[in-house]
Amino acid sequence: MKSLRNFRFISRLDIKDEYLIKSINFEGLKKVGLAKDYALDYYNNNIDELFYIDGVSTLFNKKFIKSFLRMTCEKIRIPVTVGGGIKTINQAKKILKSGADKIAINTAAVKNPEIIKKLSELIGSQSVVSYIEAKKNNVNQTWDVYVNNGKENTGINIMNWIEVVQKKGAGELLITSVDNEGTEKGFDYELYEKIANIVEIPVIANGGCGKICDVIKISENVKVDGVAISSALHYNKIKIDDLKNSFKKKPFNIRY
Amino acid sequence: MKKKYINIIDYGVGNIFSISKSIESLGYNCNFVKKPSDLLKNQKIVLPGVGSFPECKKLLKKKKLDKIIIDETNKGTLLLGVCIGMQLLMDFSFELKKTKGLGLIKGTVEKIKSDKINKVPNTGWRQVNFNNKNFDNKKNYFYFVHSYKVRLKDKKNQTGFIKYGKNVIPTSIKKNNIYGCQFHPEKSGIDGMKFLKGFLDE
Repeated sequence: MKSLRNFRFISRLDIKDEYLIKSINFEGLKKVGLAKDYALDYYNNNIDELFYIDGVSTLFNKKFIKSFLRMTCEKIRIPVTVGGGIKTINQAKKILKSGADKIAINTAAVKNPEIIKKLSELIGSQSVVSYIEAKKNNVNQTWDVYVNNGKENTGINIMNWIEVVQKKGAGELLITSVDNEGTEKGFDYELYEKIANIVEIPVIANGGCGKICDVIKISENVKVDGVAISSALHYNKIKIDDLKNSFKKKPFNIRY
Repeated sequence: MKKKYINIIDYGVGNIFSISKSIESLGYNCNFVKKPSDLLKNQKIVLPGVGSFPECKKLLKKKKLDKIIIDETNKGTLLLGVCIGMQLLMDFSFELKKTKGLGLIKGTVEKIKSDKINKVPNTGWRQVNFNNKNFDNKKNYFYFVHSYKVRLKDKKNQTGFIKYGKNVIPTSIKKNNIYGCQFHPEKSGIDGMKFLKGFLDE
């Protein structure tokens, strides 16, 4: 049997309290609607996974946990990743207890990479996602790792960072291109191509998806394991059905 | 009709919220077993598991839940181990260090061999080859997320598998009253619910 590459379609929902929000290049937040309506709609329309991220760190308020996370996870039977402001092991545990399957860590890991090691030992590597915001550094033609919604440059080179998080036990990389985020002009193909050469764990590409052909282009040209899409889904520019159907004759394992 | 109870072993790690909500949606009540005296005798048991094998085993042992699972299943009570819960049914695991399992089905747990295409963890939706006629082998999709797999001593205990690169991964197992699945039925959409219902209604 020929081994086909697996490819996943993930919907990314940026959440504040109980609302779905959206920004362009992480600037200028806009309320799109009630997050639970969108999450359930994507689930009912056969999305493979959901990624909830709270960029403004309201993650630990009761509204997020009670009226959104628990409420949606009660009805949703697909994997859910949660990220945004998780600082401690106990917070991660609380999120998992409320129905999430994976924890995405960014800022806390930059401050202390040991949190990835500790988390992976406790909840397993497969549940630890290293969420990375990458922005091109035009001086040395590489990418720097950013935190705080793409606002703060850590000065860390992304290649070095990936090696660190892999060594510490991250089970997946979710990499957002700060340059392309929210622009709907396509993925940062160059970035993911560079990464694909050194990475051993699954990589999810995020940022810039506007059309179905953007997804096809990245799947065919770069060895990534899936894409996370936000505004193109929220604003109905891509329908999940159409997206999956466009992969029917392509050499991938897709869940239909 | 009064709803039946399902024992869910709750030993402190992982996502038991989703599995319990799935079980409730299929018309059963959940009884959370945090200590041995919580167990409702002669009622089916679900053993979830997320995390590392040594950590899961340590917690089971600390809470004295390992013994009660063995004693209860020896009497014939049906048990379903999910993900690490299935791996815990084996004799040993080699995750991080050699750790003894519950020894309910003969076999060991070892790391999945990765390559450029088939990465580890094995994450995502796979089509399972079932022996079970309830599932169309070309149409089912189950969600997997794991870095280790079981190696069964007796292939007869395997009821479903996937091929993943160089690996043949047993995805569901059964020996008498002991069942296990490597995938997450509670995260596998409609197919997962069908699988779970099959066990609960048995």
